[in-house]
Amino acid sequence: MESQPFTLDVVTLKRVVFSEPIQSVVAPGTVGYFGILAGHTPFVSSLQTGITKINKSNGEKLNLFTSGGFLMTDGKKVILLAEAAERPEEIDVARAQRAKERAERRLAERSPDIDIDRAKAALLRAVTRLKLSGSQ
Amino acid sequence: MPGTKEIRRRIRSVISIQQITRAMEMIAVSRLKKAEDRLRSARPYAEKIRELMESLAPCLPRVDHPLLVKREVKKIGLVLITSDKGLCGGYNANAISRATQFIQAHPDQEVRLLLVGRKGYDFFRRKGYPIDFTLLQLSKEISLQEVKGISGAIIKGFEKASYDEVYLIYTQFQSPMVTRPILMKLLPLESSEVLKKEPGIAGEPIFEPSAEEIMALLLPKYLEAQIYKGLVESVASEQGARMVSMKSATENAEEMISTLTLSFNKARQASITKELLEVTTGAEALRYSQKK
Repeated sequence: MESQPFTLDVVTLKRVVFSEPIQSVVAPGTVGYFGILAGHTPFVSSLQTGITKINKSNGEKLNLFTSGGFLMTDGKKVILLAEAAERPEEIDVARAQRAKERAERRLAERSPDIDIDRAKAALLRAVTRLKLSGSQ
Repeated sequence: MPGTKEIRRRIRSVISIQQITRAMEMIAVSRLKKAEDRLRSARPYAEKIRELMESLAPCLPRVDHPLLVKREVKKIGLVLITSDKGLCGGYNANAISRATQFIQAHPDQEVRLLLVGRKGYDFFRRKGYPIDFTLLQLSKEISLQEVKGISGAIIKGFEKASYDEVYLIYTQFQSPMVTRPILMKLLPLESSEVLKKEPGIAGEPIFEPSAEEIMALLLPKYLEAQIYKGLVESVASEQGARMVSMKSATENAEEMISTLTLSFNKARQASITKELLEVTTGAEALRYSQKK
């Protein structure tokens, strides 16, 4: 067992969402989910919208909603810079529901003046938030 | 000497001014506290994103990105952060004079303005400077959309070559008493500026998908982080300056009230003496005529 704690910091522009010692973390990279354990080789990846799964060093598990941003590690610590990061209890279900309906409506209309990619990204964020908050 | 009635009216009006300045001071104190909290929680992200930039710096020269392009400087974009409201001492005047100084220092280049806050907007619109972008009424919590609005305008302008360089002027917050306007270069990003320190991560890390793609995603985020920090610092400075100036206004009002009260008492005493004098002279005159 390593003597030095292996820590994860999840930081957004506005605040620090998570900063604790962990065993492992699984994050949604742009080319697919990946896991990081202590002693990982130096690694930087961009992230997409998804659920970041954290195994804390005390054995507890925590799932976070994260969208966009980057993850970097040097094997001793992991830093996750996200555009948005929320704990399950922080998710605004009503807002996510509204966002989902709005994005679905936009995609259904398929009018040329809307940004399909943006609507799709918004839909993915809303669905992921709802999934994590457990209402779906 | 003004009459007692007039003095009393003035005292009353100074008291009500004092009540207002005191209330504004209290509001500034509580907003300042929130702004300081926000400043504290904004720091980790700014530090970490800098660390990430540093780890990418060795491959910066290899990366070909529109935001890293260096051109001959003919047009400069200047972002200036001021407040919407006044009554905050020299806060806006200092920021605006820093901007004017900058414009005067670049007579050969065209300086185009991107303004946050009504004070700066009013000033430069009156003077007839070219304004490309304005953001008035910044929300109290400073939303991500607002930050992206500013960075979007900068990126678009830089990519279209409307600006060859972009600078930011914000007010750095050290303490409520010590705030100063800071000029900072935003674009193009110089690798020498990022490379001040040894890379945060030893050796060249593995990049996924690739260093170039990460750089392309990271640059706008880096810009956003700088702008957000500038906004948060400026808002804290504004509230600090307002708190200090309202505090001194309240103290001045206090002083004015005590001088006015003094002259009110004097005037009242004078009028009593005068009345007494009139009564005694009257009585004296009456007695004199009765004696006769």
